[in-house]
Amino acid sequence: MDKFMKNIIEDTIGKIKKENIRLQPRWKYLAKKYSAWTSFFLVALIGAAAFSVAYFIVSQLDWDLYRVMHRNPFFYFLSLLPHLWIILIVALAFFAFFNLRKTETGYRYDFSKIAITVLGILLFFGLSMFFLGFGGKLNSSFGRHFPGYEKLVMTKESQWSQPEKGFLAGTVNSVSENTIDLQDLSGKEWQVSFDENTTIRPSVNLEKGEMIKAIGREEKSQTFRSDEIRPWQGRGQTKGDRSKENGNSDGGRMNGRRK
Amino acid sequence: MENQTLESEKREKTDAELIDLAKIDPESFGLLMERYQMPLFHYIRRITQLPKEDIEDLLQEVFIKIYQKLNEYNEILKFSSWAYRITHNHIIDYFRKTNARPRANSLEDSELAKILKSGTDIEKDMNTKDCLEKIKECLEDIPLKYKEILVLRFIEEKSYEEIMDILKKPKGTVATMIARGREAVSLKMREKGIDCF
Repeated sequence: MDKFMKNIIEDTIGKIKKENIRLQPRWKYLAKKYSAWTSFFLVALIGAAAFSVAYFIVSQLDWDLYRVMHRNPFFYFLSLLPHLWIILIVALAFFAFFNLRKTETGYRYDFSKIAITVLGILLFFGLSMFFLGFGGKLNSSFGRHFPGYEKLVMTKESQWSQPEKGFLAGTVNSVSENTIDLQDLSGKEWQVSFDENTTIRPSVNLEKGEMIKAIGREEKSQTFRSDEIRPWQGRGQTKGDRSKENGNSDGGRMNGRRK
Repeated sequence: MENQTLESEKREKTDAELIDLAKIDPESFGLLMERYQMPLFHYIRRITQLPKEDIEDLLQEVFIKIYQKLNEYNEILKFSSWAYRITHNHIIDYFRKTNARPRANSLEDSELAKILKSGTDIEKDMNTKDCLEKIKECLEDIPLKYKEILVLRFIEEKSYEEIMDILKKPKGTVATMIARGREAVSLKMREKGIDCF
């Protein structure tokens, strides 16, 4: 066997010399190594951007409308979730997971370590992007550049552009005794009526140029009967108002400022 | 005399030092080959059981691959694990290209005994040659991935970490595959009604 083996060694060295077999350049190895890491970080960053948009959408929506719609809260929450973005985040998380596995020493880490790393990166960078305002900007950009976007994703704008379901939002043009002239988010003019039974949230500022949201019902073309008026941002509740509302169904009615 | 001293000095060098030398001079690669020729030869034999000449050809191809990839070697791995990994990949490529399956009876009796004694559920006292032959058939019937991992663990006596580096699989997967490999051998034995102990 030794002689046989010695021949292999000699033959191999002879072949290397005769055929001028060379070492593969190190840069090829380094390029492969770093491209695997770059690919992982790129995918993780895209995933984080998707997370920031999804978080932005979720933070902007009004989650308490199931009471008005008389719907099961669980199914209502499910219907509001930004499914498109969630699917994208999950797909990118899987892609990042496998990219990390493909790195030079990725096989050494077990499933849970890689999963925690990927989720940690998505959460950290996703929330950072959200707080830097990137999520909102990206969401607006999608809304502007992709015509069907708001049909695919329930954004705050699409949530409040459903007068037929009782949700209307827009900018106040003028306010009279019982009527608000409102221009909705698509530029259409509406007459929004209200009375002493209408709950006007405390932080609502009913004056020209202010944006509001109205809950009620569409009565006839471009006429909307409001049961509740909220400011564009949030639900318009003060701390005191929330406790009053919990204990007293009349709490908060006609509390808004009118000019 | 001087040459002999030089050779002897080279022999004392670590794998990493020999790799550095081989990058400059292919002759130094001979010492690395010398170190790993027997383990890799037997590894290929155990997995493939090709004729000696074919194993020799495969081994030479493996050595040339190792030589070409010397710049890729990363010292976080043991050189032996890295060399086994290249050999493993080359064997897989070989079977893929030739569309062949490893031949039966690739293990010697003593090697087979090591695998059988590894599992409490299949540990038996093997008395007859006939019995060994039947068990060998069972081992050859299980998927290559299980056979290979049993060979690495119980015949090559590699640690879990080394197997992890050779096969590029997480440690947990390695442990699972070893357990499944042993189960697969036991199952084959039961299926074939082998009860010759």
